[in-house]
Amino acid sequence: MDKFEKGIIAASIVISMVLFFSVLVARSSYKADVPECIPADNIYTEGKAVMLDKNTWQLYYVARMWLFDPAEVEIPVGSEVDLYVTSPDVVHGFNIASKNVNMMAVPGAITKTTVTFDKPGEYPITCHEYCGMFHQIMQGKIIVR
Amino acid sequence: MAQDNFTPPDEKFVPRGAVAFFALLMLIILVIWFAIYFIMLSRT
Repeated sequence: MDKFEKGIIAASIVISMVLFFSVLVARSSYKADVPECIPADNIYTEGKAVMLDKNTWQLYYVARMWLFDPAEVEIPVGSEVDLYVTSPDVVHGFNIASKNVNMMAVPGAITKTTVTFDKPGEYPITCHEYCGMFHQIMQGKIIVR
Repeated sequence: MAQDNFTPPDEKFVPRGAVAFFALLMLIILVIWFAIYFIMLSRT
């Protein structure tokens, strides 16, 4: 094999390893959370916000054609929030772009992730899975003060 | 005749263009990949 071919193959392997270990570093030291699908015998049918203590919240979202319930939630800065999402009709998306939240709302299942809102502001929630005629108006909001 | 003009390949040929292209390609990929990587990390 030509020495330049060997060099290019070696460089490709090294760069691939750099990218791979960067993902591992992000996964471990930065505590990037991955949504999980939790088993559910009794699916809730109405959205609600539950305050466990001042900085710990559970938000139960129902994504249905074509709204999020609750549509707007206000929480204090620094809150650690467990987000639960389900759907009574079709598959919806649940995306908070500025917090890397990317979940699916699936009928008959509950998707969960945990997010800490450490900066004040408005965090728009959008449906990013086409769900019908008014998919584009399906939005919600988390207000952090 | 064409054969009279034949010159043997240079045995010390170095593919500088291909190596430079490859290095530039890898550099661009790394810059774009890590730019997105750190944007995503800043959002967690």
